[in-house]
Amino acid sequence: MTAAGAALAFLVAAIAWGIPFLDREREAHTGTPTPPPYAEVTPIVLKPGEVACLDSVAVEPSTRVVRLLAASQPVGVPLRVTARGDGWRSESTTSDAYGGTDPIHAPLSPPPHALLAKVCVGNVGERRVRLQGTIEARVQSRSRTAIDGEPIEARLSLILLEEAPAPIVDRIGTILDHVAAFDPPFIGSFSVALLLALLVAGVPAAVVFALWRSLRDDDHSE
Amino acid sequence: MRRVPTPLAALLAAATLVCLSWIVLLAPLQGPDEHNHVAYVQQLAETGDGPVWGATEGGTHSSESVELQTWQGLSALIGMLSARPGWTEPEERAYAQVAQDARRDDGTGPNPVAQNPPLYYAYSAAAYNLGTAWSLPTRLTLMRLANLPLFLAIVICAWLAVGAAFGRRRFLQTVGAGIAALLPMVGMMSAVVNPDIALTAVFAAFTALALTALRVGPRPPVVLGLAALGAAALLTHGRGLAILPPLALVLALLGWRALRELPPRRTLLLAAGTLAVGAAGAVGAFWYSAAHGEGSSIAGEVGNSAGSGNLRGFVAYVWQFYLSPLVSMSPPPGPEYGFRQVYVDTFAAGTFGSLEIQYPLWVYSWVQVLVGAGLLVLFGAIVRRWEAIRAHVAPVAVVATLVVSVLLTIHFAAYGDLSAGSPDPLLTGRYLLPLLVPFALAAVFVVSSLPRRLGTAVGAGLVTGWALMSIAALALTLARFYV
Repeated sequence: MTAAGAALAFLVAAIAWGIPFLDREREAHTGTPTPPPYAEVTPIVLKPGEVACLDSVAVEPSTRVVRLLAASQPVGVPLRVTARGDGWRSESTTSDAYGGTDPIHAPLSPPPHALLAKVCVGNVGERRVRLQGTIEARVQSRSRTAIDGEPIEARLSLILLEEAPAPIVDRIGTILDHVAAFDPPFIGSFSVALLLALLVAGVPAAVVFALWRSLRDDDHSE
Repeated sequence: MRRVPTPLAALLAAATLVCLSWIVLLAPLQGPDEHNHVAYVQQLAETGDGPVWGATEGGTHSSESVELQTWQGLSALIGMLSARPGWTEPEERAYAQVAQDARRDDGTGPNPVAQNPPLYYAYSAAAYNLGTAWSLPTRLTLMRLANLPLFLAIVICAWLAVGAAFGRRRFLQTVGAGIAALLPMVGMMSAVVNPDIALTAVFAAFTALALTALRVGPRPPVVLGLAALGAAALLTHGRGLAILPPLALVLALLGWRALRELPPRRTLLLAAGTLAVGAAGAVGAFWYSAAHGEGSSIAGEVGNSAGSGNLRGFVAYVWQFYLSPLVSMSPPPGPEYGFRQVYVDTFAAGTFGSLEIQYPLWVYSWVQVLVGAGLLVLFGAIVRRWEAIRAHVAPVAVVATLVVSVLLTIHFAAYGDLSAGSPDPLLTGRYLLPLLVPFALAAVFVVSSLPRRLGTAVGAGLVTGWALMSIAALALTLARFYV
């Protein structure tokens, strides 16, 4: 009875929590050249015509959106976002329908293969624009920021995304590749998938078996 | 040769899967302070000496580690939910290229964990050295894998401790070992390069051996083993000092029996051997920490600010940590931080990575209710079975001393630093891991005190619940780093 109850609990949890967890739509990140500030925003101000650039930004073929963040911006200003590297180039202009600390999204034509690119954000409006940046020590990313070629201390917050949010279950192959990227060469996405399958099936099975067997052993020893 | 009991074997298999999954899913250097602990191991492995704290030239991390953090975005990732590691091929390629010529032995700068004694780091350095021909991420994986035997030892010790305290009752042993194997925090820490997992293993072994020693009496291997575990605790971490009061108590109890049961000459030899082992560990730990901690001793983390505050303030701080303030009490130093944050949020339920990976809030609320209910039932069980407890006063006293000693140590350290003006509460759930086996014993005591059917259901519920939470924590970790 006890072991059956434990098995039932695992089953109920898998249905009630596990399936919705895997099926919930989530933002699909393809990279975070500089994450948003942790505690304190350092605004990066671009006057009309000025351009801020980040170097060494990894862009994947699945990247479709560049996300910037406004910093207490009273009225939106259109921004031109260009990215280039290894013979590839993308250019788009954002709308000005943002304000406050809203995210600002610019579409990106993806490169044919993953590469390191330079991403630039130009103010093509007629007012100054304040974008979120950071000088926090904990957010010291690889990509440095320069305005009109002059390096600045703050780093412009920039996130790269796929076109639309998607559930884990729809991107499982990509996600497993991401996991395997940090493991030794002998661990690939297949072995990660195998391990996770063993975890999800094996741990409940081992727990149910241990409970059942221990109760049986106690019964026999009485 | 005796067979491993089948339920224990099943739990060890579950623990292995949990540990391996954490090793793979927790992005490199993202465990608590892991980047600094890895820097310690690398410096020790590459130069034969650990890093130092204080005024010293160079960076905390080697050039090789800095390049890894730079190209794979691991530094900005720590604690930042919106960040993702650099998983693209160009980043991997760029790192591989610069890593070829990057120095591994130049992490000579001040390392905030340098005052920690070297036992765990030396153990981890052996794993690091196995992979010396491979890349740093592979060596990191090897260092994390070296924690697996420590984790399995914890599970085995929990099984043995319950057996020593409650007899050969397989279900109770399964509950105790199941808690040790499946508590999500211990699972995560089993995959992090951090001496906390070694300290947990040493305290688990001490608890099991102390309970066994009180049953079998002052046998030389047992007594010397206890002394060796005391030395190992001191050589592992400053918080290992908490082992001294329960060690002294159990040795005193064994000494009392030895005077009656062993010839005087043998008792004297045993006492001398015990003292020698313990003293060697203590001297080694104090010497190493003093040499590497710029004057701060092994107490390092537990005693840097010991001069701050006063006894009255300490009592008021501890009271308000657990209970509502009395009228006469002034507010404690530091942020609002107490039982819920340490025992529930970062221990019984758990927060993962560098504290940024959390369950939904309702999970913590429910765990708080269940922990509260558990404490009430424990109190009731103690009252109801007081006679039985009195009949086993020695083991109960040793375990109680262990609990009080660990709690006093971590509260004393936190109070000292908070009184000196630190804004950080300096106390988190993983500091309770040395009490994992005593907590498992308390849970088993509750289960054994309930009516049989109810006790069975509660015991099974505990193990099942923590297994589910472990799997959920791993799923959240996958979503946090790789989606």
